[in-house]
Formats: sequence, structure tokens, C-alpha cells
Amino acid sequence: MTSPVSEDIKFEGEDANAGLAAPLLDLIAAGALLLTAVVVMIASLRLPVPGSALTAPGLMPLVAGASLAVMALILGNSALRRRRDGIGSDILLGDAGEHARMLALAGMVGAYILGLQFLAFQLFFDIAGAPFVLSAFEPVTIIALTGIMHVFWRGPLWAKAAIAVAWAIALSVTFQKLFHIPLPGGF
Amino acid sequence: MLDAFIQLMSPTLLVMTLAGVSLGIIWGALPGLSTTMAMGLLIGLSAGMPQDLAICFMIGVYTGSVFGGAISAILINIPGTPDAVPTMIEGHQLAQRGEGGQALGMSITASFMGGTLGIVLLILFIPLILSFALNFRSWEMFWLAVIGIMVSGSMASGEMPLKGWIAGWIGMLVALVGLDEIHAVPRFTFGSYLLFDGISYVAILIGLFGLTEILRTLPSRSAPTIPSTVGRVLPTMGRLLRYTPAATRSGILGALIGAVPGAGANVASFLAYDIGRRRASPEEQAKWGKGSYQALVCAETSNNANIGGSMLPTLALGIPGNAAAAALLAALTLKNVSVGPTIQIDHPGLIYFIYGALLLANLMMFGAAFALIKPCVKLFSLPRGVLMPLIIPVCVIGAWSVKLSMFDVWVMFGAGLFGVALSVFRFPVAPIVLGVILAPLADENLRRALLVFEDKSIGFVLSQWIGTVLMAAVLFVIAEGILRGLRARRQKPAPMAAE
Repeated sequence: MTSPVSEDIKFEGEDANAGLAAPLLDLIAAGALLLTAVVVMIASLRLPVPGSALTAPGLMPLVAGASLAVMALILGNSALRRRRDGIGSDILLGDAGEHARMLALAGMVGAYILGLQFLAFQLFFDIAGAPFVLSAFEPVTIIALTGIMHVFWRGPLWAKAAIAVAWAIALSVTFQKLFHIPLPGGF
Repeated sequence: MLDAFIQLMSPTLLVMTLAGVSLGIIWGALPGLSTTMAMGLLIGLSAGMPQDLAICFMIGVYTGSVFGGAISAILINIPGTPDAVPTMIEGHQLAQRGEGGQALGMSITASFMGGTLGIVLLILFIPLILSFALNFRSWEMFWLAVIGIMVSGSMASGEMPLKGWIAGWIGMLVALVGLDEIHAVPRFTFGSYLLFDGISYVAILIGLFGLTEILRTLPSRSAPTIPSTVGRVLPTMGRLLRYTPAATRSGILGALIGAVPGAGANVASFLAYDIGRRRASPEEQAKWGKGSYQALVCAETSNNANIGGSMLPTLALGIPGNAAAAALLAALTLKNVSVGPTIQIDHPGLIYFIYGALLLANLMMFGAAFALIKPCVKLFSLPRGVLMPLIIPVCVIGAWSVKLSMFDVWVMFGAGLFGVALSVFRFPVAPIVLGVILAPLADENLRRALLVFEDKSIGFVLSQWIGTVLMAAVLFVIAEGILRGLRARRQKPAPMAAE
């Protein structure tokens, strides 16, 4: 297929970035994959074999690990050749500030999940005769969302807090009342 | 079949389909939020619904989000998914000439026509495929699962199929964690009971497609230019009739490509766009790439026809046509629906219900899309710093709601971080999902087949002609991928950017 689409057109999406990387990155990936494949193969061979070897639980992981090892070797070999030929030898790491913000965001999401796990509680109460449950989900979500928005949006703090409160309540009511799904942070 | 259609006319199902379609359109319209992400996150919402509601809702989300990508592609020049790139090339040129509304109107109509054509072809061909699929035994199912992973890998990483295959294999290894299905031997569980049940594919799906995208796009400082108005949206009848032959051809092509396990809407859309240009009149060819309605129709018809096509291997063989269909398959599995050659025996009448839900969702997409264009334009003006954080608790609830387990939430978080690492190393993520979904099928069927072939000769194994053809197809996919990679390497040097 010959596409009339220009090569420099970019789309936003999960696989927008897939393809050849700088040789050093491909070499690192190949090394990590080879190591994983070898560990999987050894672990597969150590699994018990209750019946025939043909139905051994380790058969498929062994085959998958072996083929992954072959693919990792091909990737590593290709990266080495490109590195030797001096193709794409530099790694442009992009905007360092963006990377720092990404790490901060990952940390905040991790802290949010930790909060849900370790601050779990449940309070049962009625509003106009209708039963409601307040769990750690609502306060932890409000604090986490306000914090994340505070870092990534320049709006006023009251607006961030108001959006976080409205969203946490909307999610809580939708999932608990409409779809009868208990929320994390409850028990 | 009539019973299924009558059942679909219940107000609850109608409302739920409309809710799914509307959510899907809005989701697809927002840059960076893809169809698979929508499907993955909303599985959590469907987990608490009865089976019929969940099916209508998820099919609605699928149909709506595939079209939704066209709105951002045309108006703000950012397609959410690769299949919307041709739409963006033509549609945004039209929008810049003040014909954004007309371009959207044509996209909606083309999407509707494509969707309908895909479903009609699905209804016509599924009985044939189902009866043929009954000949598929363990050996054939194993190779079919391998084809699904290989083709998906091949398609997802363009110039370097090897990375797509590796991604598929990583997914396969993740799915092999837990008790094995034949002997119940714990595999790679490290003595932890939490891993006995395996790693939740829903959590992985949400992490890879939801959290990864948030982690990648929220810290970015770039922001699109938002149009203030779209103009007239309804297309004229003359224009509709003029492009009907191109729409029919592209629709058939899109549905056929969708039926190939692993080949998604992006292949359909680009191929239909390219073939459309070759078949167009010289006058129309001159407009190609500069804002052609015919090109827009070709791309949009084919990617929506792909939905019906992708349902063919999903329903008939249990092999998802693409990552979004894999998410739909995951949602069906959660509702105890096992699709595959015996779907008519295991769930009598369900297939007609799914046909009806697809038709209904497509019809609702047509209406809702016109109504939602202006609210979507308003949504584009929401700062990314407000919109993206709101998705984080949805990711958490989505991963949690399947088994009410915080372990799954951590799996989702880990998958999100792993997705970012994959992006840095330029590996695709879609094949991982196919690997996770198809590995148990491959594992179980390989071992059963080997047991059947225990005392047989190689000649006997090769005499199983369906399996041999499928094996040859896998070899063909590998050879084609290797050749493509070599050609790409000769043509241009590797990019130096690490991200």
C-alpha cells in the first residue's frame, strides 16, 4: 500500500510513537527482554509436570520465553548494527521539565491509591430518608484531584476544589446508587 | 431475531445505548482519549449492569467513540486515533475554508453508512463463518490466536513489526501468570494467593490505555487552537448521492479488513483513502489532500464499517479483530458470555441481540453526533489540566470494580507506568492487550492439540489442512514483517528522539 499521507503527520494516541528507537534504547530494551525471557524459561522448567510433558504447565511459557529471547537477540543485533553505522546514535531526552512533571504526576497518582488503601473507612448516614455511604473515596479523591489540578492548571484554588468536590460526588452517586458498585476506600 | 429487536425497544435499553453512544462520541472527540481507552475505562461502569444493558452500553461506546475521533480531527487538527488521520488531512482543510460543519456532516453520514454496511455484511457472513468455525479444533484455535497477536503486532508498529510482536509476547507472558487451566498448577505466582487468579486484563487495559495517556499528555504544555463556530452541519442530498459509490466500496473494504484478526480501523481507513484516490475522477484526484469530501467519505465509511467487520472474528471465533474489540470481548466475558464457534449453542439468540444492538447504536450515533457537535466544541475549550485529572478516579474505579480488589488498582498503576516506559522505548501497547486476551486460548489449545497428536506423525499434523493454512499464514505475516522492516531501514535512518 502506498499512502499519500505525509510522513511528518502526527496523531495523538497510544501507539503514535511505536517504531525504531535510538540504538542505545533498543539495546537496553533487548537486554531487559533477554533477561526476562531467560528467567521465564528457567521458571517454566522448574514448574511441576503432573501429567504428560506435552500438557506441562510450563510448556507455553517455555515456548513464549524462548521465542521472546530470539526476538530480543534480533532487536539487540539490529541496534548494535545501527550503532556501529552511526545511525541515530544520539538520544534526545526532550523537555526535562515535562519529565519532572510526569514523575510528579505518577507520584501523586501513587499517593492517591495509597491513600485509598490505607485510609479506608465507612460512615453510614441518611439524607431525607435516603441511605448514603461516605468512604475514604470522597475525601481522598477531592484532595488528590485538587492537588493534581493545582499543579497542572493555573485556575483559582476555589475552582479546583469545587470541580474536585463535584466530580467526587458525581462519581460516588453514579457508581454506588445507579450501578450498585461499592467504591475503593470503603473497607 | 424478531424477539431480540423487540427486547431492544425497551426504554431502559434504548436509554443505555444512547448513553453509551453519547459518552463514546464525547470521549472520542477529546484529543488523546481513544476508543480503546473509552472501552477499557467504561468496562468498570458496565460491571454492575445486567448482561443486556452492559452489551448495549459497551456497543454504544464502541460505535460512538470510533466516530468521535473525526470531530477533533476536523475541527482542531488532532485525530485521537491513527484511523482518523486521513479524516484530519481532508476535514481540517475544509474547516479552514469555513466548511467545518459540512465536513462534519459528511463524516457523520459516511460513518452511519459505513457502520450499517459493516453490520449488514456481519449478519450475512457470520452464519458461514460460524459453520466453518465448527471445524476448528485445538490445533486450529492455537494458530488463530497466534495470528491475532502477530497481525496486531505487525500493524501497530509500522516500520518495526518486531517491536509489535515483542509487545504481543509480553502480553502473553503476563496472561500466563496464575493457576494453569488444565492442571491448576500455580505459574509465576511467587507464593502469593493474590496472583492465583491471574493478573486482571481489565486492570491492564485501563492502565495501558488510560493512565499511560494521562501520564504522557497531562504534563505536556502544547495546547490546540479551538474554533469558535462550526457553521451548517447537515449535508446536501446532491452531495450525499454523488459519493454513494465511493462510500459503498470503502465500506465493503473496511468491513473485510476488520474481519482479519488483529487488523484494525487504521489499516482500513488508510487503504480506503488510498484506493479512493486511485479510483477518483481526475478532477476529484486534484482535490485529494487539499480538502476533498470524497476522500473524507472514503476514510470515514471504512473505519466505521470496520466495527461490523471486527465483530466477525470476535463473535465467531473468539479472536478480537482489534484492541477495541478485545475490550468488548473482555466486557462480554465479565458478563459470562463466552463467544466463539459455539455461541449459538451456548447463548441462543444472543447473536441476534448483538446485531440489533449494533444497528441501534449506529442509528443513535447518527442522531446523537449531530446533536453533540456543538457541546464537543465547548468541551475542547476545557483546559487539559482540568479534564485529564478527572479521568484518574475513573481509572481507579474501573480497575477496582471488577473484583473489588485494591491489588487490581495497583496492577492498573503498574501497567500505566509500564505503558510510559514502552512509549519511551517506542514499543506499541495495543498488541499487549491482544496477547493478554489470546494467551490463555493459545496455551490451553496448544497443549490439548499436542496431546491429540502425541502418537501421530508430522504428515498427519500437516494433513490437518486448516491448521496448516493458518501456520502458513503466521509464517507469511513474519516474512512480510521482516521484509517491511528491512525496506524501512534501507529507506531512512532511525529517528533520534527517545520519546
